[in-house]
Amino acid sequence: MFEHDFLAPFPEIFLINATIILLIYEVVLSTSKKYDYPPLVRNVSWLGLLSVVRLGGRVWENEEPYRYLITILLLAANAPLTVANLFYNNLIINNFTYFCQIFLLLNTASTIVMCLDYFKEESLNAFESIVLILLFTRSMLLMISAYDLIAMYLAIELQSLCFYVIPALKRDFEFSTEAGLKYFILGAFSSGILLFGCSMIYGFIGVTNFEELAKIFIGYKITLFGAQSSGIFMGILFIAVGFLFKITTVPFHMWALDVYEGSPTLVTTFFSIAPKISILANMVRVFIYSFYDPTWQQLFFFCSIASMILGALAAMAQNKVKRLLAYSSIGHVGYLFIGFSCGTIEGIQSLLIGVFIYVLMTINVFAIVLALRQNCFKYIADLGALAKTNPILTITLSITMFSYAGIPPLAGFCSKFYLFFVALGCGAYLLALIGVVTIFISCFYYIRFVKIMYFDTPKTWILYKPMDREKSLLLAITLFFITFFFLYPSPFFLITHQMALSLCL
Amino acid sequence: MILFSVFSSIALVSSVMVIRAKNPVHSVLFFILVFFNTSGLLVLLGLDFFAMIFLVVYVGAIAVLFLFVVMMLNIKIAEIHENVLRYLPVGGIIGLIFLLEIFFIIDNDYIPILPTKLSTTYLTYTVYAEKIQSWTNLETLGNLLYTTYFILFLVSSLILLVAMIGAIVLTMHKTTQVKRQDVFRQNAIDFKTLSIAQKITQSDPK
Repeated sequence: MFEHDFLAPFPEIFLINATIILLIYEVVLSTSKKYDYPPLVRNVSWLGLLSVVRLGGRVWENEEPYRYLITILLLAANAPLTVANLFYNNLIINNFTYFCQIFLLLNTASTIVMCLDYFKEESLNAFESIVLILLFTRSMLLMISAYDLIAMYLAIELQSLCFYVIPALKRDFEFSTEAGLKYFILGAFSSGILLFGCSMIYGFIGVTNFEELAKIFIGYKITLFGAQSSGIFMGILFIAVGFLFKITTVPFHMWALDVYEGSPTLVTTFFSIAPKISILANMVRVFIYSFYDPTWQQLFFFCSIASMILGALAAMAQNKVKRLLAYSSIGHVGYLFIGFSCGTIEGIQSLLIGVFIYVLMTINVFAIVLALRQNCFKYIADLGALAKTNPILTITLSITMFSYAGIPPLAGFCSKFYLFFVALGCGAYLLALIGVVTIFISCFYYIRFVKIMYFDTPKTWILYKPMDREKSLLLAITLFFITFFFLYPSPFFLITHQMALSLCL
Repeated sequence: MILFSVFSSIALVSSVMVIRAKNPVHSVLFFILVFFNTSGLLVLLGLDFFAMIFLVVYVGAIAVLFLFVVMMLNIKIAEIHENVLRYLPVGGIIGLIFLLEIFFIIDNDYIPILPTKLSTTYLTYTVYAEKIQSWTNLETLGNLLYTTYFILFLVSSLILLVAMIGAIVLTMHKTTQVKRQDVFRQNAIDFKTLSIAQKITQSDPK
């Protein structure tokens, strides 16, 4: 066991060690009188970023490192094993998890990069947030490679616990404590439902491993005695509901909006990007690999339709930026669920492409929102006449908004097109129809951003500070991807195709 | 059978009394009673280790935590009892749904509780000699938890770490105006004169 089992999750082991060492470093150093209690957030963020990019271990005391993207994901990309079944069948690593983990680490690195300036602006001295972010990166890596219901549940709990703490970091601002409390209750409740579903599945089947569940579920509908255990159906339903709570789809989205709006903008960034990837990857593994069955398909159809409709309609009445972005993320998850609920290989492929492009666009938008928060950029009307004060930023935001809306040559259109293509290919015509209609409706509020920027004059002219170097690099990279994705998408299509295929093993 | 009905009925009654008691401290005490009865039920099922751990964790940690919080908050007794009936419809529906789930289990040939499901084909001759087990509950758990599922054990430790970090992040105030316990000063109080012994605290900068 020991020759493979500790070799394969080597990146995760490194991440845990780095997290613990960072925690001790900051606790010891920031309470020591000798160094006069330095606010260590910047140091720790860079170190955290570096440990995410696997550079490992040099202490940057008083200078900013100028070269930080040295072979990003060094260890993860050169992973010693790429196909393995670990820890007595609790974890698995194959192509799907490999690429998902690389993708996830890239995104976490970008969000940490975005948050460096945020801490200085807000003078938020909570360096534990970086430790928590690293811990939940670890949990998401674990979640993607989980192969057992218990391992999956523990990983989800770890991630949720890290997330419960960070919205409430701004302690004197009651919106954020309210957001933290609401997220905690919502998350605890959904974890409870998820665990209840898992325990029912275990009670009625007797195994928790995904592979064994897949073998048992082959003949689930077609049994000789016609005995279809309703307990298993309830179990699958509860697990589905628990997951849908976590990914904030429509019948279960109630408090997610308040959480997104009340938490500090950095935390909203994390919420929109990171859990979606990992929970979707986990859901794909659970539902398409283990419970391959039309039981949950109807529920997901309904959720997808409802999310799209709600995301399109309710966002029209919003004047606050973060709520609007939250509604648009709900709508996007609805689109992603089109690909998911079809259950075909192309469906999973379109889901993965959709996730990738969604994440790129979200990073872009949140980098802009974080950069413009000089005067507490809360309302959309604060963006007025941005075209005159900052034309390049305006162009960036316009292109991103067009991509969200699904205008042709940009990346958002490619992902949505592929999603609808898949839906039509498997016969879900209603889904594709409602998707197209809601895209039309949602175009309104995306293009309203563009209109406000170019054609509106605000009451008071707001001059924004220029953004720092890291965010501008990030914006440039994501904008480049969004704009020129349609020219050469094939390596990316090949990767997602291989990821989807490896799910069939 | 008698023990089962005693334990389960007291547990049900106590759980109803948890929500209906006027005094919050009484609620917590009934809560503890629920846990005791549930661990009695677990002993009846043959899970000895699990029952003891239930007592240690639930009563010893969780119920004590509840009691701390209830004692710290200054809840007046009679104000809580208004408008309980307002929650009856939705709470009743949810309670009914959970109750109906029991029928998924009862409607099963392996538990012949309902008299209609009794059938005589299940009377088989059991060879009791081969049912002797020499492992206790604790050994079985340890055998699995630390060998086959050790990774889950380690992940649980990470969860506890996150809980600890989270609690400290959210509640620790680092400013100088916060009242803190100074153990050296407290130890230096002279009880006969109730003054702080001067020699010891003079070198203390605080």
